[in-house]
Amino acid sequence: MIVRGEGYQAWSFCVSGLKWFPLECRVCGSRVSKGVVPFFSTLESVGLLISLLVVSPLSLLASHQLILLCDRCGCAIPLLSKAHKDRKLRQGLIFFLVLKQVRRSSVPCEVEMALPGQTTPDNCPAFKLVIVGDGGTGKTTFVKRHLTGEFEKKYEPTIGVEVHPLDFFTNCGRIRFYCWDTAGQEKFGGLRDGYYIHGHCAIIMFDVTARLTYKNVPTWHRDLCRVCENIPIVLCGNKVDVKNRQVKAKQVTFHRKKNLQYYEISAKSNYNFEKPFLYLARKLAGDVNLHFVESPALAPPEVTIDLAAQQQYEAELAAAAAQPLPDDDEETFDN
Amino acid sequence: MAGEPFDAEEKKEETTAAAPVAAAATTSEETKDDAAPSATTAEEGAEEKATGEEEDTGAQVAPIVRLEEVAISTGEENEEVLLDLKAKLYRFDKDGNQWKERGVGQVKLLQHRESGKIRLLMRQSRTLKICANHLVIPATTLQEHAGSDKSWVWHASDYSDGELKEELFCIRLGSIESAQKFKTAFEEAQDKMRGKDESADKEADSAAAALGGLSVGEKTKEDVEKPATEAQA
Repeated sequence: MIVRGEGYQAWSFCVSGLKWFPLECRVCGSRVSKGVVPFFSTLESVGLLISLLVVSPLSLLASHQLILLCDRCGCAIPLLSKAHKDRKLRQGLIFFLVLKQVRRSSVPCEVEMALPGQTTPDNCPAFKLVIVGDGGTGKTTFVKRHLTGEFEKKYEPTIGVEVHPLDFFTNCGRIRFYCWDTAGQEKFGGLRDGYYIHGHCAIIMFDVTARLTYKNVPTWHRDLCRVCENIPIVLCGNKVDVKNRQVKAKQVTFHRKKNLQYYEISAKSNYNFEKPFLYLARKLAGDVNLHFVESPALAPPEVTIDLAAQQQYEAELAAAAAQPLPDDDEETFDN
Repeated sequence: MAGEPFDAEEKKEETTAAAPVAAAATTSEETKDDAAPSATTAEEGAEEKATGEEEDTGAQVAPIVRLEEVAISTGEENEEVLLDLKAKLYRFDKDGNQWKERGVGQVKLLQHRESGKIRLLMRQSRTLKICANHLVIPATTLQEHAGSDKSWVWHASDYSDGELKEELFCIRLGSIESAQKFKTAFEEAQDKMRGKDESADKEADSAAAALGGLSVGEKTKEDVEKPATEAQA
């Protein structure tokens, strides 16, 4: 079903209402009017140079497989993803995708894209990190924890893939992981191993409270290694904060056979939560002494708040103060 | 990792030759360092440490980038630490009408040695990323959180991401004493800023305000110093 049409160059625009707007790369923020469509499934039979899609919210699920690679940072932009549902694109959207088939000889265009994410637009070394594993093992929660600090309890399956940049400051400067948080559930799989291409490193996640998720690790590993040969991989047993584990640490042996690094983690308690990234960064840079350092804390600029705004904040604050904290009843810590 | 011995020259030599060996050594060292702060996890986690979870069983993969050691700037070099406490920070998500965790780490009040400005800076432990960074201004009020006597809420124009963003923060300290300490220090900082803002002819007002602040907060060394500095101004 999936056509690996590496040779499609695409120009795309969206029209919503009467407004045209170019797509924005969700990663680097640059406007993308041109890029490469590495593979796509919905348009395979069209074969036209110009395609016009009229997209209704119902068909979003079906067409989320469309991906455009940003020509600036090389990151993938799912053209029609879950994220669009809550955006301005919601009300009837017409989507233009102008495709030009490029001959095999003009592959350079693909080669340029072949090492996407090696640096960010501002020249910071960047790596594509693929995160795989069964549904519900906590991949998205883990990524979110790093992005915003929050711990999301609610389970909302990822559809296709969500790409997030994640920066760390090390003694060798800033580095960035483009985290490709992939769908664990088969029915939402999207491109599946299509997302792994050009991956520099990977995390395979399982849930220590669900034996089946560990049993499936070899399958995830095999699929990953078919696409990405010899990249550093970390196996993560998540949810070690839960009392009734089904997979004990001693039973985790897969990593020894396959030369993976293993970490027990908990996205909930933050146990070892930085270790996978630290390990991968060390491997990718070949520097065992690499470590995280304080990110530079810039001096915040002066602000002037007028009385009206001040009063509004006070009112909001009073309402917020009445809301319970997410984990109010839980752990205490000492100073 | 904080506290990890580090030698720049040694590092360069080792990168090529002794990498795997050294990797094993460093990771096992870390285990000890990090076991303590994360002790809140399941007991099993601690027990299974012994099985050598941290040993480097990873493949021999070739590095894909070469990174050079750079000078590290924390941005705090020219500041004096007025307060440094462990805390948990939350931000209010207005859309979801709920508090969301922002990070666990050290919260500091820092006063710049030249400009005299005071800011609140908090970093996530271990990744050392910034979760709050804003100036302490007199207009802010620290309010109690309804459900906790160890927590405070306030509004701030936060600069964590390098752009100003209006946030409602809630901070939870480890104990009631720490919470009081935080409040006192925060309000003292506000008083200092208030004194700084006001011009000479309003000196009397500012002194009165400072005294008002005094009666609320506990007396500390800085409290005693403050009226003196204001008298000079």
